[in-house]
Amino acid sequence: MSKIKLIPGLFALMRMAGTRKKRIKEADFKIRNDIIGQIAKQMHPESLSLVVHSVRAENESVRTYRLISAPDSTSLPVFQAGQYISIKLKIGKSQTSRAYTISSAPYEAEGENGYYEITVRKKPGGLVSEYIFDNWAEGVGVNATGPHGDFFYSPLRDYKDIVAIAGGAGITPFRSMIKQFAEKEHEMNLTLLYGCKNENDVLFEREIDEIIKTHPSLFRRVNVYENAPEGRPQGYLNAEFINSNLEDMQNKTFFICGPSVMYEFLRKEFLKVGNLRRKQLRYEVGGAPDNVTKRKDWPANAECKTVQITVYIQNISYDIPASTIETILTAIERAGLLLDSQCRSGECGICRSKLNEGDVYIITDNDGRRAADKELGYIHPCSTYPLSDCRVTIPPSNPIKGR
Amino acid sequence: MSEYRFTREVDAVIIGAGNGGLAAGASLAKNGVKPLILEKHSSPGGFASSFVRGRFEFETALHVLADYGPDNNRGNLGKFFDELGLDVEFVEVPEAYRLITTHDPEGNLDAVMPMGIEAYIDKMEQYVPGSRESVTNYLLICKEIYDALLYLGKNKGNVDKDVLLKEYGNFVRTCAASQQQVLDAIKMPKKAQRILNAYWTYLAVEMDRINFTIFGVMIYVLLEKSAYIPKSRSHEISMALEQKIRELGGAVECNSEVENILVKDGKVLGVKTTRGEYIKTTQVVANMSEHTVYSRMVYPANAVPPRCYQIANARIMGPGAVVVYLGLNKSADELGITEYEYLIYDSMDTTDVYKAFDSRGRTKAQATACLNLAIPNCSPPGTCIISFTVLNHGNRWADVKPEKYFEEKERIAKEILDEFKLATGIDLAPYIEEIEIATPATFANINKKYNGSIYGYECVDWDSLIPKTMTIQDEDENPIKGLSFVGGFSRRSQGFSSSYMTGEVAGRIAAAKWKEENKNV
Ligand SMILES: Cc1cc2nc3c(=O)[nH]c(=O)nc-3n(C[C@H](O)[C@H](O)[C@H](O)COP(=O)(O)OP(=O)(O)OC[C@H]3O[C@@H](n4cnc5c(N)ncnc54)[C@H](O)[C@@H]3O)c2cc1C
Ligand code: FES
Repeated sequence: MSKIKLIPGLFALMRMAGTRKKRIKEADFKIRNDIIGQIAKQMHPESLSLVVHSVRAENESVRTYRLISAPDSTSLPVFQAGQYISIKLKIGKSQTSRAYTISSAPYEAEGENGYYEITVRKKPGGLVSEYIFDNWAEGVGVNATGPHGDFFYSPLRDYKDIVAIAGGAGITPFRSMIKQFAEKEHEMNLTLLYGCKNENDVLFEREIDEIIKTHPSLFRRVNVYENAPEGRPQGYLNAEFINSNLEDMQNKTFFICGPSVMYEFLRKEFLKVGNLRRKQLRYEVGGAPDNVTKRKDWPANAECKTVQITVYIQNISYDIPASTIETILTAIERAGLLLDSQCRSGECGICRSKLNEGDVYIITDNDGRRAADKELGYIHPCSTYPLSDCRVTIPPSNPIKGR
Repeated sequence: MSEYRFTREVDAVIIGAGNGGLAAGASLAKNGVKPLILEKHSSPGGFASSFVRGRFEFETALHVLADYGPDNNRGNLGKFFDELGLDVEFVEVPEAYRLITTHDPEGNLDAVMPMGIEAYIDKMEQYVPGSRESVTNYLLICKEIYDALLYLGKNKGNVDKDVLLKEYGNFVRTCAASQQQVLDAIKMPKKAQRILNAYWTYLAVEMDRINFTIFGVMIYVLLEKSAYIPKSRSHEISMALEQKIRELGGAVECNSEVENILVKDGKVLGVKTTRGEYIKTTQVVANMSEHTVYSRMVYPANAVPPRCYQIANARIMGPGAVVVYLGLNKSADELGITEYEYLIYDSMDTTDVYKAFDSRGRTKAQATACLNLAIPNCSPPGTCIISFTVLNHGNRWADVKPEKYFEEKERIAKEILDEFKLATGIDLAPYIEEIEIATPATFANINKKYNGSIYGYECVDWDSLIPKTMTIQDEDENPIKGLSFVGGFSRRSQGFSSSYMTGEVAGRIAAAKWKEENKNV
């Protein structure tokens, strides 16, 4: 090896430490702004402080709530049409959350008078939807996080031909998309295939038809009714219906939003639609199913019974009762313990916890767990059901602020 | 008594369970001190993580883990992990890199460089006949630098100048030089320099400003120890470290954000979480930037000696990145992807490319890794995972209007894919099944990176390993007693391996201090 002739003098080393001291001595004392940190905070605030601006009844069991930023809080974060916010509530001793798609368009959230709308279907016996119907009126404060979610159009990934398949209240993301595309984007077109129980079940019909009228080349809508009114198509949202309304299946992206029973049905129907690739089918997550025991892979020997969960939070343990047909998250919330949640569908990982012991059933449709986590026994309690007594370690969570 | 109502007391608090924090935690615990690691996120790891989209699990950040080493030739990191007895399965990556330049005034390059010093020199000779001597020479000097650093490390700064001069003369003579100065001094052919410098974006400082020691050691360690990745993404390493910390009596609490570091009379008293919990401790190890800690976290604010701001402000913030993660519905083989890592640059004019980090103009550099080339079954059969990293200063995003943010993300991602196509002839666009695009704002949000920087502070000569090691225990450099820093923003350059090692060292020092304090109690 050659002896490199480069830096004259011996103690370049010492010089470096000297330079360092000099640089520090010459530096200023100012506190620097973290500009990108501030932007990130504005786009993804830890929590949203909102106020109900107005309420509109869509029918007797569906209402649209217009939410605006609470006085003194910043403007609403931007979002992509199809994303949701997670509403945080304390009901009785339970702190809980529910996801609601923003049914208004992103452009409507811009500026000082910006707003989000969410459209809530009252579920009989539903904890949060009933609470919202009973309590939310103009001026009521609302706590939320978000926007979140991956259910949106991506120009690089998706085809320009979009097929929106909606079941019942699953129309909400498509209302947002249609409004936004009509206002801002003219590149893609969207066909809405809308499955409804009856005429009364159809949401936003007039509003969407207005938009279609002004942009006939961009949008198209076809409804199908289980109980059709006079002169309207009767039937189900199935392969036959899809095939009869669309051509050239290979160059389309299907966005699908509706109840979980619709997904189970459609997954089978799509096999008959043709040789679609997985990238063409994008299902929105939908929260816990109404009746988990009806799922195909629900263990045949699972009983419907009460079990005990021992919950550890920061080394303190709590014994709580749980039902085998309710999620571990629900049991934790019922008991008045805190556990953060967001998607309540197994996808986002916010509720990530460790199962130390016990048999569970996990809904894997939207399993967002990482390989190493599965290996180590981590679960997402929002999509996990206790089949026996269990021991679970959950992370500490924050009580909702301000209320 | 103190003015705070502390609800618990712990030996040491580590803020942030990133690579630096987890390594510091493991290092403290191994040295008999029980740390409590508080992590804001719902899982530990920071950048050493992964996320699931559809049927893909994406690696968040890691391309190659350097300084780990094969069983019979462990690097420093490998030794540290071995000593801890970490249970992680590592896979060696197949080659060092493939360099392609696309708009090179000196002629476009396309070179695939292997691991292993001999193989590397041979391959370089093929591409640049007559380069053998200078490249051999260069790598021998790099080895000497590596050995010199081991010597410095062993002697904790108390070095015998005669030994240094006699045994490590080249180290002494080059330690304040830039990579370019050394290359010129040993007269390496220009083309060989350009191929050798390909790895520069892993440091993100131009060749005439990057400290030679840093670059030389990086390339030597890469070729000599090869590079590895964990089989189940780097989340697996984070989980293994977390488990080890627990086994050794420490604790990691997720969903726990530290709001303040409580300081009085120049000494750490404890921390306060956003939940309002006060935790007493004498040692706080911060896995974040000095800027963040001094400007936002120390309480009361006037407990920050003015000198702290100077220490932070003297440093130069490195770039953040745009990362595009793709899950593709074709296999790497079907797509014609033949290398694990593609380094694709406009040219090897590092000054020109460096400038592009900060501009709204065309991006000029990408580091692109196809995970399946190292771990064939990391995604389902007939699919593959590719991630593209393009360095981008946070400032570049400062004037993007929020409502234009998504559009801008998509625009850059498209540009990156087009550039990849230009370089390799491979069009990935039709096969995208899942896509995620992260920007400096994403890293500022999810990882709380100051200004969205993923690269910590730039390691220019006066702010790199050597002067920082020499001054590590100086009072001047540690104005608040009991507070130290680890991770990408601390003593070394960014990068997984460096961050882990800063944690290992800081953990040892904090443990010694803790023991010193507690022997009189
Ligand atoms: C991404 C996403 C988007 C969505 N978008 C919309 C939308 O746009 N519009 C819409 O209407 N819905 C939407 N949903 C569904 C919505 O989030 C709720 O699931 C739905 O409103 C039903 O909630 P609920 O609380 O009324 O009923 P459930 O949660 O189904 O309540 C079921 C039962 O559990 C019991 N229970 C549950 N928790 C507790 C507790 N803590 N304490 C005591 N008892 C409890 C209740 O008593 C009740 O009997 C969306 C879901 C997801 C995941
Ligand atoms: S709340 Fe999203 S995974 Fe449980």
